[in-house]
Amino acid sequence: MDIVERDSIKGGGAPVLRLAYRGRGADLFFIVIRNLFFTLITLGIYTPWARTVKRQFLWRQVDIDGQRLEYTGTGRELFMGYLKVLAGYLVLFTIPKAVGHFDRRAGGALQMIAGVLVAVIIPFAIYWSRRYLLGRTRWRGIRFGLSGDAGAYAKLFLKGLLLTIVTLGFYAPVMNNRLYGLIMRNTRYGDASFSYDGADGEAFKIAIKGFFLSLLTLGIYSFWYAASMQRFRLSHTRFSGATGSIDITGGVLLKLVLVNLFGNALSLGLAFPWTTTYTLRTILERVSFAGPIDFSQIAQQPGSGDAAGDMLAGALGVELGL
Amino acid sequence: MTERATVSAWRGHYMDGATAALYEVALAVEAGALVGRDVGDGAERLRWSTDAITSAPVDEARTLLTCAAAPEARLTTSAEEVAIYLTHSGATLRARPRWQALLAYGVGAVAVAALIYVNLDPLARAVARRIPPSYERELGEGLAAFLLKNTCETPAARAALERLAARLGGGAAELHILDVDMVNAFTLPGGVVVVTRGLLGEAKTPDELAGVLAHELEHVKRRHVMIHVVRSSLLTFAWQATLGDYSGLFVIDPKTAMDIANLRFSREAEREADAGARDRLDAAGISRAGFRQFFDRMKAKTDAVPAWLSNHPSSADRAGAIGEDVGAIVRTPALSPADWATLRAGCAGSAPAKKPGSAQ
Repeated sequence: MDIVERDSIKGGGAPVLRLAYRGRGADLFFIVIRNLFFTLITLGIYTPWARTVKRQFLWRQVDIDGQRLEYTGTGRELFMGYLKVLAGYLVLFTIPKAVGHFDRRAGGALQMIAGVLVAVIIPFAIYWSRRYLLGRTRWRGIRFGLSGDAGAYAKLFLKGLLLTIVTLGFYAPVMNNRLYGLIMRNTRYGDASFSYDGADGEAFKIAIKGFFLSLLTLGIYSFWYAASMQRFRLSHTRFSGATGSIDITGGVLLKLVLVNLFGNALSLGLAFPWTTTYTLRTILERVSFAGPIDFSQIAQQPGSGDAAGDMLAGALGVELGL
Repeated sequence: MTERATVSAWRGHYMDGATAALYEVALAVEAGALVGRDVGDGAERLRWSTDAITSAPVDEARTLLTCAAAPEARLTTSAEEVAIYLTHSGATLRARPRWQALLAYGVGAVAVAALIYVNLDPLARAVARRIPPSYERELGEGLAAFLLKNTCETPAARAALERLAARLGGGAAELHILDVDMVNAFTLPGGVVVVTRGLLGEAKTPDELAGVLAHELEHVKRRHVMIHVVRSSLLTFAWQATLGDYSGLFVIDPKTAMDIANLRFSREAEREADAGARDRLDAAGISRAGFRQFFDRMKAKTDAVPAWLSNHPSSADRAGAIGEDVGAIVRTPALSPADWATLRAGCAGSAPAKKPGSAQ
């Protein structure tokens, strides 16, 4: 019998799925130091394994309704992904250079094409990386995944970027809302998809209010703005019969940022395992999904995603920070 | 929850890996197999051969079990009971990090980092020596093309400079006089030595210029520029490879840290070049006094920065290191009065026009 069902029987209301982070800073610190040691003695070759060990730990600390997340990616596949990215990088940057030796103008043109290619590939990398991470995440033994086409995301991303520039930034909230919606609608748990119905107009209203009040309050309101945008997004994110919510306020975010800032600054960065723990705890314990979900109807799907996408996102600096 | 579990009360949560349903099962080991029966309807949900089970810790109290025969299925249950009934699996999460291991890894990491840092110089020198000068030349091409647009040398002035360099033992691929007020001399990749108009004006005697030029020729001979490039690249690589994942968390930005780490090499290179210059002056029969006087005069202007934060040793230290003329060497002026005049005249005409803020 599901805990969710028991909850509903006890409470009488809708069943609620709660998230929490159970990790301790000291354990994360140990993993980071251990990783650092092996990375140093292998002159960096250990990096993909280090990343994997850290993710395995972080995932395992995320508690959803009594069961933990599980990270099933391996260092080996991440290393292979790294080699692919390296090969692509070499092709992209050595060919124009080599051509430039013989014909300066052609080399320059190729270099420019390579530069544009790198810029265009950013949204693809974001999407591929997300697909890899979700494809290596399990809960209750069932895989998450990201279906859909990275091209559609890239199109939305690049078009949005252009419109944002043309409208001096006013399009940004609409763009972000659409990108979030696309990701959510393509996010699967087993064979069931998430959905998102947050209206662009509403996101725009929140952003405009946030922008002007932030100006008036010299930026202080920006925390309340960020909190209200998060609340808006989660409240329109649905899975099966459940709707998300995040019980967060500007005050909570402000405190979070201040604690992290001072913690890291005063410890010269050494406190980051504890500040990371504090952040994950604060955010995750406020997230929940309320409403009925029939888990027996959610079936396993085959895994997908290539580690190269994850390494590429890392190389381009657009990873999720995991 | 806390009371001691018995066989009949050994419970777990079973997920079959086909759907996301969670079954509460009663567990027991029967005939070499872990068997789980649904608490609700008593149906057998799992029968795993104990040899095929692997365990991973969830938290202090719980263990995650998987079975090779059913790789998608998961079972979470009490770690304590797993230890009792499935002792062979044995793995339980330690409640606290192992402080001895933490200390060993920490000290090890610092030691390895120190080892890399200490060996950086010899490694950079070895690599740089293997890079052909033609490649170095190519590397500096862009910079040279940009800087050398602004020279102010007459053929006669350049010839005089080249004669001085030859007397000092030579070694530079090219010599140029740059049309700027700043008092400086430097070496570009590919062995191009540049002295500024400001330096020619500041030097009171050809001996002073000879000291500075000898110093730059030593940079060329010892390939300091290339070593510096290789060293910075290695340092950047080492930093990215090992700490790249955490770079966002550092309060000191990597660029600054790298610059400070590079300063030590710069100071060492300057000392080497000073020592080499002193030997060149002796070999050419030029007095060291000019070189020393030059530093004495610069001392007042430049020693505001503490030595450890500077890329050059302090002028006072350098003047001291050059020392007095020793030995029975016949010393003559570095350049004839005529050559000295030609050299200084080469740029004299352009000086007033290049003042910053001039209406032209």
